[in-house]
Amino acid sequence: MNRILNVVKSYGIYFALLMLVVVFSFASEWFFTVDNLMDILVQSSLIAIAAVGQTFVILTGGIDLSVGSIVAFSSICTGMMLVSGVPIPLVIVLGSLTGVAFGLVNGVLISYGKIPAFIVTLGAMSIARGGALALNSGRPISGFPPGFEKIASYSIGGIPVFVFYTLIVYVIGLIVMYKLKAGRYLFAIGGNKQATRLAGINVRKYETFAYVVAGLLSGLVGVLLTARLNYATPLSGGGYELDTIAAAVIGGTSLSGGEGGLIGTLVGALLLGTLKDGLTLLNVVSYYQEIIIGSVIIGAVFYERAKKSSE
Amino acid sequence: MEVRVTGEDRVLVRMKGISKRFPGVQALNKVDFELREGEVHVLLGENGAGKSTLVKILSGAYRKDEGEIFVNGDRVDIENPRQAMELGIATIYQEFSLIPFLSAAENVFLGREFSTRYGLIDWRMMYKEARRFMDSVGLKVSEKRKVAQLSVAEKQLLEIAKALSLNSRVIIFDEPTATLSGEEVKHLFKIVQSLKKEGRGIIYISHRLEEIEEVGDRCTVLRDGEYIGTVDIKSVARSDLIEMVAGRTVDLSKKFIPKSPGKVVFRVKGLKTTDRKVSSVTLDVREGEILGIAGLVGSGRTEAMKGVVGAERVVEGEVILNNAPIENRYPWDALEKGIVYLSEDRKSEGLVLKMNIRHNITLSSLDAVVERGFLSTKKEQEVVSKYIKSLKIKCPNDKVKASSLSGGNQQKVLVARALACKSKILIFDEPTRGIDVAAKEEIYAILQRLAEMGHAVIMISSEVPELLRCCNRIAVMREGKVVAILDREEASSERILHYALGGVAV
Repeated sequence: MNRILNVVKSYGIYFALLMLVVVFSFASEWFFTVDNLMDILVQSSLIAIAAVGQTFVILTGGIDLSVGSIVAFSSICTGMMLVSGVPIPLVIVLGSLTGVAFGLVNGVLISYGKIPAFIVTLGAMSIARGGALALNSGRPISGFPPGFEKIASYSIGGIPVFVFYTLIVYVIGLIVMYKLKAGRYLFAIGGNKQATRLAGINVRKYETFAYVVAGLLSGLVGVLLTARLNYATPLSGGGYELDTIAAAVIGGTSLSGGEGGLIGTLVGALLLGTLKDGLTLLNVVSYYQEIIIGSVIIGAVFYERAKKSSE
Repeated sequence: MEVRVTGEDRVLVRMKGISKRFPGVQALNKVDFELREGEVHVLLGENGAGKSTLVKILSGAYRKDEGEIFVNGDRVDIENPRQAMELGIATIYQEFSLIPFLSAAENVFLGREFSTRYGLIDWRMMYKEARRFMDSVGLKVSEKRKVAQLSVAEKQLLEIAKALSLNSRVIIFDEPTATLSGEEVKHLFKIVQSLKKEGRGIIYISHRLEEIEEVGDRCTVLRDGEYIGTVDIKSVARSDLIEMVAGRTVDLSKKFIPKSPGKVVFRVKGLKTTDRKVSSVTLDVREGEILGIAGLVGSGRTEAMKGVVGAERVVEGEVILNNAPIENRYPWDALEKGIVYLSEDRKSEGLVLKMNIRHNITLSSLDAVVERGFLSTKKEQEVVSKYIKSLKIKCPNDKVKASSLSGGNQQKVLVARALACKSKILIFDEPTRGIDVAAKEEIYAILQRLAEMGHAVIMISSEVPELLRCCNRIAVMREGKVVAILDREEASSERILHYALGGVAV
């Protein structure tokens, strides 16, 4: 019995996801269908991708509140480039680079300028959103070349291409985190910044790196979102910052830094996506959905804490 | 009721057969302890021997599994810190439990504020009372000053004032002198003496034998959670005390001075840092040598060495490695040139406590375990197991967190990190702080071995005896300057202290 409890404890979040799937499968006949499951994957994929960057940042002990606004900014830039005839591959690259620019400024101000991450990214959140609105006077953009929408609607062997994008990002993310020096340093910085600096590591460089990755992935998500909707709006990406933080935290990444991982974040994002999907199928009004999701986030952190203090 | 009167000494606290288990360890096994009125009772033992656990049970931070506690002869169950406080037991912890942005007076009476007839805080009364208790411990700063602006020594005195205001009969000091300078220690001891005279009982935890002999009356020794014995400090030889603690004989006269140092490899000339704590530091180190740096806390030793490795901004002076001047603007510059500084504060400036031992050891030398661009777990394991073996780091495996190790083993992890990055110049800042007697000897032996392998070793220490046992030469610092460099033949405690306190080199 104790053994079982221990297994449940160490894989708590997987069990939670499994339970959700089981419960929803019984509650709604539509839930456990290939179409719906694919839909959950696609719906979760954008949050999951952006959450990789957020996890990097949180690991260093920081936070990125500008994710959603960067998504919108990148989306508008993507739309404007598309309608003015920039080739699609170049649009994808440049759209993502707008995110890199924001991430770089965030990182430099935080690590070199020593301004708290909360403040810098809160400012960037407002600036990027304002920028997205200003670029096209608040209007959405549509009428893209037909090829662009393909990068979202394509599917391989019945599996939507977004699933593959997510997998690719996670594989690269995992390699960076566990197989490159940079990843190791993220853990070290979040665990003890001063000790890491004295150990001869360029803390500011790697801290900036985390924000650049967060920016890059937010930019990429902006491009992908534009492709999926087939139009760009300056209001897109709303709440992404909180969803990505929630995914990371539900996945066991500690907000104080130094502890966590990407697999947890992926499961966290899937859990959020499953919850939203299931509740919608059960006709739960969106107000109540928000209440339930909020409770789940707090519950997950409470669970982590309880687990830790029992160790 | 059990009131035991031995001679004229009344017993304040009696702990009988106390046991406490934590998952995986028996922290205390049927330990007895007794504190009389007007005595300073030292708790002695290695890290992990159970001193802190015992004290925490008395102060309500932990609950005992077994055993009985009597306070003033009455059997009590101490369930929480508040209850301990009401029983007149106060603890002065290493990490102070003061609130930084409240005033001294507010801290003294936190949770017990005086109020006026109208239910408002009676500030006048509070300041007056705070002043009275602060005066009684010789704390001269204003009672209105914020705690954040107090020095470590002042904070400690404030904690004592708080304990007095609670009318505590039992005061527990947990390594009170670890961060105090010589003068401050003297003042603290005076206060302890006067507390004694008032008939209070003092429980005193410390590793420093010299001060235990100076301040203590009786001493209870614990080892691995077992009660070893209680002795009268005045009538026991130091070597016997050490044997009780270590469980074996430790030869305190054994020297660890490296033989036959070579040529000078590293020089510092006229170093000056921006914060003015270092005004003129000139010294040199030979390969195969241990150079000691003595001096009072605050004499600029740490800042000077941090300046050398680029962790502190340098405004003037030269650092010369193998006859070539170098500039270390950041710690990674120094690392690249093989110069490593190991901080006195292992927990906040040395280890990443949340990370496992393996990752802590390779933190500075990841390049060496990279294969075709990627970290190689296999290579990393090889490096780490080599150092775990050669430095005898005691751990179940290299995947346990650094926070789970004892002080001595944590220090060894940091030594391993420095060695793994192939550094030639090793600067140790208080390498044995908070480490028990047996582990200290091990660290000395490691330093000696490193020097004899050809490293140049610098060792900052506040404990003069250990400098005399390890160093080929000892530089003495005072007020940001190196005031003397003594060869081992001319060095003695008296001379070092003479220079540290204000004598001038001839």
